[in-house]
Amino acid sequence: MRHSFSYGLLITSFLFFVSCGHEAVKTAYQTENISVSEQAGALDSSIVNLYKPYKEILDKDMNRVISVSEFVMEKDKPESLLTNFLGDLLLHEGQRVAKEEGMDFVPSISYYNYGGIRTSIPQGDITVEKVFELMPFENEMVFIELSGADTKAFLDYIADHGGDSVGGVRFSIKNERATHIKINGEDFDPQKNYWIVTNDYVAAGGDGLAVLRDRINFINSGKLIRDVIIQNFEEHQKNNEKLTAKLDGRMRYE
Amino acid sequence: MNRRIFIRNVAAGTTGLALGPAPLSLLANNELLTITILHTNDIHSHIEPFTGSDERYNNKGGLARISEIAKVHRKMNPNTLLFDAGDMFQGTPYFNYFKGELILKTMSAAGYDLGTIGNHEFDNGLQGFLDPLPNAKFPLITSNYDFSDTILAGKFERCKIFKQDGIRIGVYALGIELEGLVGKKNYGNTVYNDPLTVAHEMEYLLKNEMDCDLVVCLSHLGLKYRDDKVSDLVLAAETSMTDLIIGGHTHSYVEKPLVEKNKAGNPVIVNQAWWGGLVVGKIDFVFDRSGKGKPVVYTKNLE
Repeated sequence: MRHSFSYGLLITSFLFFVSCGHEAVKTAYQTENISVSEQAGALDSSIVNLYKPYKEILDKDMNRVISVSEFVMEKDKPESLLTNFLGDLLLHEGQRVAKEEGMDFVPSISYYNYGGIRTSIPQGDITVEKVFELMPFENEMVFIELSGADTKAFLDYIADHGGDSVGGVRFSIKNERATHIKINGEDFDPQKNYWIVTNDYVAAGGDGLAVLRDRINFINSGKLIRDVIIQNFEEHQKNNEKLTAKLDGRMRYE
Repeated sequence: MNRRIFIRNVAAGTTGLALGPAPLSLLANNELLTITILHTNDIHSHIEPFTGSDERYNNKGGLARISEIAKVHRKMNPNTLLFDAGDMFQGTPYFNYFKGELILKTMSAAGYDLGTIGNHEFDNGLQGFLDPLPNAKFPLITSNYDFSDTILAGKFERCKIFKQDGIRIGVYALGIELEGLVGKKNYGNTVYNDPLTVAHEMEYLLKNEMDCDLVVCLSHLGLKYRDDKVSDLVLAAETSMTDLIIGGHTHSYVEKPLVEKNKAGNPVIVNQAWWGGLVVGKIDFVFDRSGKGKPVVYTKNLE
């Protein structure tokens, strides 16, 4: 008797529960990551038609030849045609911008992180597109003032990484440290502060360059490095100069 | 594909789940409804397929293909939604030349239903985000960025609820900490609120107050980090009512969507679709509107 009562209650409450269960129940799921290839999806013609006029404008500009390179420039360590070329270009443009903006300093070292250089420069015609490939990031040119001690730590970092893209500085690499340092042709002075021109990515400590955050001064030029490079290339073309570079032993193993 | 065939496919599918052998009575039940959620992240202005010699990229990705894939899925299941988890801006010359305008126009034409805000949406500053916004014909939401003291005030809701054949899908969105990642001048007086606190608030709101059957988080926090920085996996373990976390930021290539255990011991799906439109995540949820179905439970993925 007691048992049948319990069962009755159980059945009643079960029926009650079911009849009130209007809430949808999630009963299954299936998941998949679809690789967006030609097989997975054709090009939607309405989308292609939408971007077509934009693409025409873009292609026209991207295919514009803005300079001619004397030879192929590729990156390598400790130095290479490409890293020296970009280092010298950045120092030159940094010094020009500092002067134009009426800054009370002149950058004496330039630095571009090796990993941020994304392609090589071919021989012959250089298009705007090539500069976008070389420098796809929206990095800005910045100026950093470092103490002598931090400048040394910064150059040691470069030495420890087997060389990078630099301008304005020469040193030997010995036991992963920078020695016989010359900046702007003069012996390195640990008592002196130095101004570095670089990009905002490393200035924010990117690529493990925490030392660049220990700075005395920081100025952002607000100019995209890619725009600076495009302008520099156009000037070369205007002056009928080819893009060129040389190996000069600015960083070498001792 | 009709619903019954689809259910059978689910039951037969190799992708892991807790459906098991479905009883015939269930298969015949027209109370069953499938919601398909397609998602992308870090499109980075990839409108066209990639070009170049790398096989992993060449002729793949981009919004023109995504749009076609979404169309096909909508035809198969009208209850299909297309979401994006942020970083629509920056990455191809299309953005350098046409700013946010073209990418937002294209995503609108591709039929996106919802998006959120990645750190690169700040690349041209707050003004550079505000100006192209009228081109977005789909809503963008954010639950943890507070724009009240900026020119973007009032432009974004904190959540969005979709009603698909009686099923309520609530979506909230979390953005990454901007300090140290985005220049201060670019984000101005935008206030970043703690994602975990906001997630708890939003999932409670959507589940318990707004009566949603499904709670989705669009996240631009990143899949995981070596340190204890908040990520999608942290979020998965710390929330209890979120069913799906659609991630971005870390450009993570995930072979198969992850199924994690949430704080209540229930399954939560965490996914990310690489970047550049190279992958579309596809998550199908099957609902029994009669309320009689057996709910899915967390089962350790043994693969």
